Amino acid sequence: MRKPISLRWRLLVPLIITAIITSALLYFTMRQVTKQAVQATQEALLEKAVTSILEQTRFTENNVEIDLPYNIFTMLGAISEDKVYYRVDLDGLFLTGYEDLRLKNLTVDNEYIFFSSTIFRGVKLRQATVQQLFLVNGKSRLIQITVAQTQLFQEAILRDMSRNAGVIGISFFGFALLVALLATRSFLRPINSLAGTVSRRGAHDLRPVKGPTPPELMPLVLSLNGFISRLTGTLRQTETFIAEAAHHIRTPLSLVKSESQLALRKSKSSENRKHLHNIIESVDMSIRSAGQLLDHALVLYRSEKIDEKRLDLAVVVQHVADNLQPAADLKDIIIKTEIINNGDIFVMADRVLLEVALRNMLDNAIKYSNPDQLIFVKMVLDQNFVRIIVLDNGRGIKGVKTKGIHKRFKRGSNVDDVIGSGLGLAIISEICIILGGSFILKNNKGVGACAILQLPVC
Amino acid sequence: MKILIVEDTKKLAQSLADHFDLAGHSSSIAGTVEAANELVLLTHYDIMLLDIMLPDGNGHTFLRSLRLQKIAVPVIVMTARSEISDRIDLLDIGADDYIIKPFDIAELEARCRAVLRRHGGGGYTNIMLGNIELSPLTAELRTPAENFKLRNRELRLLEIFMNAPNILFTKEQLTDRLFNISESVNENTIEVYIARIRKKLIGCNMRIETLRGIGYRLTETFLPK
Amino acid sequence: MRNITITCLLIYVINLLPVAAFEIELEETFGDNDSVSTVQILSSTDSERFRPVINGFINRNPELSVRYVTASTAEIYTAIATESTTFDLVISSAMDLQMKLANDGFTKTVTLAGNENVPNWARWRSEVFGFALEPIVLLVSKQDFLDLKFPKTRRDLLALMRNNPDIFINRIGTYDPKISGAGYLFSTQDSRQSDTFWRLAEVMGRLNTKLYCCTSKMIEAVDSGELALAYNVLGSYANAELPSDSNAQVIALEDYTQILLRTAVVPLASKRPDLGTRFLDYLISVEGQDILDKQAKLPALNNFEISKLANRKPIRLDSGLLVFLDKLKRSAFLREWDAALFQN
Repeated sequence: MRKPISLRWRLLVPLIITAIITSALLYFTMRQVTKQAVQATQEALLEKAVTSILEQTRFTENNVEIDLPYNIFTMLGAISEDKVYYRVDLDGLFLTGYEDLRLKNLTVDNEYIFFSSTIFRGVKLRQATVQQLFLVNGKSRLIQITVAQTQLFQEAILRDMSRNAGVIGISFFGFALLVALLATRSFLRPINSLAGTVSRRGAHDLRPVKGPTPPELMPLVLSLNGFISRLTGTLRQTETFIAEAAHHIRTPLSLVKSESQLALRKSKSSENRKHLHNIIESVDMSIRSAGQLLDHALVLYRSEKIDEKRLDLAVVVQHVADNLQPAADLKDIIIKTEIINNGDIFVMADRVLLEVALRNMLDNAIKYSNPDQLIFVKMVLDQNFVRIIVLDNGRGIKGVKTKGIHKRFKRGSNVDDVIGSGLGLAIISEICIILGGSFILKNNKGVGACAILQLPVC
Repeated sequence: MKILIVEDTKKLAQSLADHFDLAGHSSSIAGTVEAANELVLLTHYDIMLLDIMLPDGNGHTFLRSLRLQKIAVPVIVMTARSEISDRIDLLDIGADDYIIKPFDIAELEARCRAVLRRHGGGGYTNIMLGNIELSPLTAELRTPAENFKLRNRELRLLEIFMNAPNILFTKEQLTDRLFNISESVNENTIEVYIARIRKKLIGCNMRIETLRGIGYRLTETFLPK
Repeated sequence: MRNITITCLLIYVINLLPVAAFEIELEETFGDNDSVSTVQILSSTDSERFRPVINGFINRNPELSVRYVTASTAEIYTAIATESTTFDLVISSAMDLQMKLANDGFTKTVTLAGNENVPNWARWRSEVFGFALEPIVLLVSKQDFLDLKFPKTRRDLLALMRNNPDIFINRIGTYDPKISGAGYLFSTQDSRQSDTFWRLAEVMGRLNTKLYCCTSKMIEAVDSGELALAYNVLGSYANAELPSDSNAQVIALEDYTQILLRTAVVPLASKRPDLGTRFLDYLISVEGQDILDKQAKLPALNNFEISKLANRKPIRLDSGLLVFLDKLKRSAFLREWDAALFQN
């Protein structure tokens, strides 16, 4: 495929071509006008010369007196230093001047001055010719006068003129080029500013693009806004879908779980209880899987529509810990939170995602802890980062291959006896990427595991 | 305690009600916002379990209108949504706690207790048997000799016995009530907790009796004066 | 002795240049015989006068020699315009003929290294270059003016001649325009300057004025007292040739004094136009101008005394000069002249 031509060039090239053509036209027009002006001047002088000679022509009885006007000749030469030639004919016979100067054949009744160009001794000449009939003693006599001049001056003027016109033309071209560049820039400015407006937006800012826009850009803005609204619609649909899915999955599971727990409690038969155990176990597994799948969908959705705010980390952590404490209580587990460094820690993050990550970390810690144990949640500020460390005293991940543990549906090798979907760590890792942090799961120094979520502070 | 369950899935609501009834509480069920509103205005409830998605309205709006009417009944929201932003809003508009469906009934009970504890103990009555008194809300066990603060599982175990004195509970039954199925504990683990309680009951006229091979029961002993 | 040399040289030249049909006065060669090249110069100026400049040139360009041929201005014109001569530089005091050579296309356009040394008024195109000035003056015999005031203007001169016919009868000299190109130029230019000229011609005619071919003869005649005055003589010749105690007195008339330009052209037919250009460049160089002015007594373009003259009228080097060369115009002028001068 051909590389698309940039808008700048699309604009510049016609403008430059126009400038070149205009400059050239300017150049040739100036040349032409000058040429005509110089020629007109020369012809005026030549005309003056031939008419002067004609006026001074006197016929005597047998003779004709020709007086060449000195001043006119001086003038002819004065403005131009061009060479001057002349020829006077009487009754079609050469009388005086340059015999090799060719005379234009004029009809007898021609009374005005005739201009022509000719080549004389290898040089181009402009010549004026006039003729008149005189009646002398009843005899008509025809006098023909031609004065010619080289056009070296005209050429010199044209040369000068061409140089000046060239300079003007080039200057004009330069100026036009400058104007073209500026015009291109000003033309592209609305596009750039539109691009700037759109790119400066936050990810969740799906308001339509507004503000003054040149009418020519309106189609772009309209289609952009159309796209934004479709995107908004899609995201809203996704959100609704996740919510609906959650409701439709979780409500029946709740019922199953509640009912089977009831049944278990009422059951007297150990055989039935065994069956119920199995049911509850698989329901729990379904619940966890469903929960994490929904969490995962939520993460994907939020990452499209991230809503970053400045959050007080301690408040968020405490909130999650508080909410999970009743669940931990059931195993007589206590969650302790502490901020190692003094002072507030703020992070720029999407609260929903941060809480999902923390909840999953704590959930894991509770799940793999033994009864009557402590879970520590520590927040350590280290320069531009804060590490949220969740320490438990559970079985840890000793001897477990940690590679791939963050992948979806991949679980550690020592947790087959604990219900889980394998999505928990994957969710945490993905959230980490979105929040610009990192996640590490490792063995604690003593016993248990140590989950570290590192986030940039603000 | 009196519990109002606002849940449009009738079977789930009934199932929850059955659990609370078994534990000795009384519960009402409302399937719509309208019904719930009527019940709240008519009767005093110690706690309300509120579903968010209801056929005739949204739990948010209902909760907000309750708080506007200065009805201060403690509310635990049961939500199927996992968006925590939702839950944060709920806390802001006056919910006391939230629990994500599906949940363990034990966790729900624990949250109820926690909420009631924060609200000053309404609804839960202390259980008195012989010369011991158990406060399920505060997990306090008062014996003539000493006041004990019980751990969660100790409390739940003793509560089972004190709610049904002289009733025999098999080890399996107790294990099921006390432990999560997924914990997969050894049946002998229950003995650890029985032992802990027995230690605290020394000198009292209530004791946990072992029926070898069958189970345990709480009985009154008549000690010589 | 000198005449013999000249005759010998003439014979030599005629043998050497069989094509030279025009009439030359003198030919001389300057510089070493074994020089690489020779600059061929055709000039109307005496070699005697020009010698210092030629020597100066050869000093500067020792590898060159100069062949200097002298001829009258009319012969020079003929030689260049009608004969196949191959001179590298043509020097003439006849501005009109030089102009005509250039106008009619017999000269070459040259580029001079010292271009700026020649002011615009002293050049025509890049073909005709003036290199020396020549004031046209009145020469009077002091002994005849013992009781008379020197004329300051032509009007004075007219009055003087009218009032003292006894002194001036047969004792006035001027150029014969029919035989002298320079004389014709001065007369025609005079006729352009004022009507006084024709009255002057009439008075001179009545006083039986003698006509001369050249300035030197007139200078001799005035110096010897044969003539009481000579009208239109070359000032530089008079200044150069008259001894300080001479009887002749040079007078630059104050109503106007015509200034002639000695000009040089490089003919188109030149075989070594570069050498002609080189010599011309030397003429207009500071050194060349200095030698012309001080040693050759040919006033340089910036000559101080001439620049001080009141009403100096340089004859303009332009196409107007062609007018009087027209044969009809010439015959008309000479008719007029004859009518004025020969009234009986």
